[in-house]
Amino acid sequence: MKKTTQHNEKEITVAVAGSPNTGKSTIFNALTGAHVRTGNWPGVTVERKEGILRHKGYKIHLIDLPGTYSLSSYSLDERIAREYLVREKPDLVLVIVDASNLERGLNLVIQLLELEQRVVIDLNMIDIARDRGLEIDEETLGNVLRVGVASTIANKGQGIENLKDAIVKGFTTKQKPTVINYGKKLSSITNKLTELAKELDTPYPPLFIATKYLEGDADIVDMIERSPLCNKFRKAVENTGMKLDELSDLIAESRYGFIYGLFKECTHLRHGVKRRIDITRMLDRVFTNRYLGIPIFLFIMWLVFQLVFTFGNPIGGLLDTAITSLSDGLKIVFNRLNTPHLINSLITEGIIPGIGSVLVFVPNIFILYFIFGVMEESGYMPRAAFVMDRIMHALGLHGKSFIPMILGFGCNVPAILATRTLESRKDRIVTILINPLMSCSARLPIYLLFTGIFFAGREGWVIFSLYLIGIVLAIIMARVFKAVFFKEEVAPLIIELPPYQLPSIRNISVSAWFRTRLFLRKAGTVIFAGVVIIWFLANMPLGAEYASSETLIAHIGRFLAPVLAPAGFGFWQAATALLFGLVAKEVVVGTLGTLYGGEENLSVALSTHFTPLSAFAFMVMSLIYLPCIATIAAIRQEAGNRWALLTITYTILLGWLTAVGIYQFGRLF
Amino acid sequence: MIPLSRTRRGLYRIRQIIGRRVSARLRDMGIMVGDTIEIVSPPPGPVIISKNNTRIGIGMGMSNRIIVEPVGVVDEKNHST
Repeated sequence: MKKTTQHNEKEITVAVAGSPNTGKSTIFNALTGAHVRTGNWPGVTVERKEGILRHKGYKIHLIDLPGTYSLSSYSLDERIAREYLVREKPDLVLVIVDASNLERGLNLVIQLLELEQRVVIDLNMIDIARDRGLEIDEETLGNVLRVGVASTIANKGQGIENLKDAIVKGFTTKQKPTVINYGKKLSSITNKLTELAKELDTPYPPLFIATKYLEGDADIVDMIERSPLCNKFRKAVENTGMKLDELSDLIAESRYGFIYGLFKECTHLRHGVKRRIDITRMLDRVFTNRYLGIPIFLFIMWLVFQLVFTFGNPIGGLLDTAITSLSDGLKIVFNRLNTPHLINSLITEGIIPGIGSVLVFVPNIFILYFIFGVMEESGYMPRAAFVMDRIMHALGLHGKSFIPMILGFGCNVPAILATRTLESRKDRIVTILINPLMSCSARLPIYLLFTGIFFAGREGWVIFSLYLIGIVLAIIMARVFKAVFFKEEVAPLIIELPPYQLPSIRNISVSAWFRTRLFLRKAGTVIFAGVVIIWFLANMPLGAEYASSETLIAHIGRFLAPVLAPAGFGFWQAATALLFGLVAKEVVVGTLGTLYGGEENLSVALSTHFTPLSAFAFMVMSLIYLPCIATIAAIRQEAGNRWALLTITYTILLGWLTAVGIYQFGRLF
Repeated sequence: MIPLSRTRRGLYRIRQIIGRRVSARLRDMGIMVGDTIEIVSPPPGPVIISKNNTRIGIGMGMSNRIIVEPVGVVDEKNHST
């Protein structure tokens, strides 16, 4: 890892670890100043920040690890942090510890030491610890663990220079850190397993494997089960005469025994605690109040909705207009230049609208990420999940699933991105899978068209019933998916409620823009490709008029029409319009217009083809049958190909079954 | 001894946490058997507990699985408990 540059600057890599809400990012920013680069961790869309600190002849590369309470494999963040540490082997790990919650911080420190990392501890928020009467003897702490210790008050910028010194010193002082002794009862089994683990070909240190195996860490247990040593591990555990559960409790007990002993040794409590005005306590009385909590949350969600869609849509609309006029303008220019029709059409009807259909999402997504940033940084986000837990729990979902469900009514794309706040992958996938059933605003034009023709005077109720069908199906499907794929119960909600604080607009803007760009890059290509394919189908064979009855897409429509017959709309125009709906649901209306010779003829044409019953079945089909390409792309980005495919399959089946069911049942009357 | 779901505002000591993953998760967050915690927001509904400088929200399914007993009036600076 050490390289020497021409200025004789030594380069070292330091990973910054710490629990959430310890002020880790404040310290990271204070250490690196403006030299921060963001990217994402390999294979996942968790943000990765890197920065450079120059100090005393060292060029220090700082890597911000995701905030974790421990190094088990409980959440994606913990896995990322652990994988990074064992694979990339940084020269040093800086652990940010909340000084007023020292025991918890030490738990993470000890696991880092077992992972054979060299550690420097930063006791942050030391002022709050002091106010609460806790004095920490840094020297004793450092001596016992044989690691470097510094203290800071990051939000006031105090102690940062000392911390820089401590990092360099931590690198230059070569001493072997303390490894905790698990006591007589355990040492025979941990020693045995450590010996066994040495035979494994893995980057994890043997002692870490031994303790994590005994603790029942999912990934490590899985690794052992798949290795040839599986039986030897089991045998070793059997020989102790204890169950794994007991051993795991013993491990925890002795680790915390050690921590408690260390805590007593290096701290003392002063009497005469300074009373702070506890703003968090006061705000929580309101925001998490049994009666006020939910109304306040709903009000905030309404506000989010307004901001994302009423501010985002006009900007998106402006972009849309700009893009349309660009392609119209180009069309004229191409015609003047006698450009071949196909190229003209590819650019002005395929590529430019394709890029456009990605770009129109940018304002909504940026605003959404920005507001989420505000909610996260201020400390409100975990409260929202907490407050909604009561209702969501009754539905068999996680408290944090609620926000994505609500956002789905606006647009499923940002809604699916919003599932990131769910830690458990299973809960997250279920929430993603059912999200397309939340009727997004792009489906409204279809409802408006059909209810206007077939349900005049009762439009409101009919549209409401469609939304309701979506919600009911979502709840049912959530149950089904959980029963089929994830047999375990919902991860219980255990969530830290950090002190409220004023968010930093600069930080939030930077990270919102970063996340938006990531979406553009990843989903953009898929959306673009999908739009171009549809364009191709709508233009082939050569010479056919765009989207006319001779084109490939119309042929596919004709092919599919018989399948749709049991739902009451088995004619090719309906099938073709639904295919176009893949680009964006509102396109269904435009396509029907084109196919029936202009929107002005639409109401006459539709009333001859549809009955009120089949119109309703068609609307239900439009609601469910397939999410638009952008939504599929978002699902693919967030959950992977497999789940995107499953969404495609299940929505088609469910849409068809529901539409057919409604039509056939309705015909009985 | 009562589950967390039947407590009121005040101080309690944790006697038992049912479920291995859950107790591991709570332990990582600094909450374990033997700790004295303060119930900041009591049931019904999700519960907020507080220890040291930290507040933790406990969801509906969870609060039946944490068994506590009330402790006498202790002031707030119960650090090492």
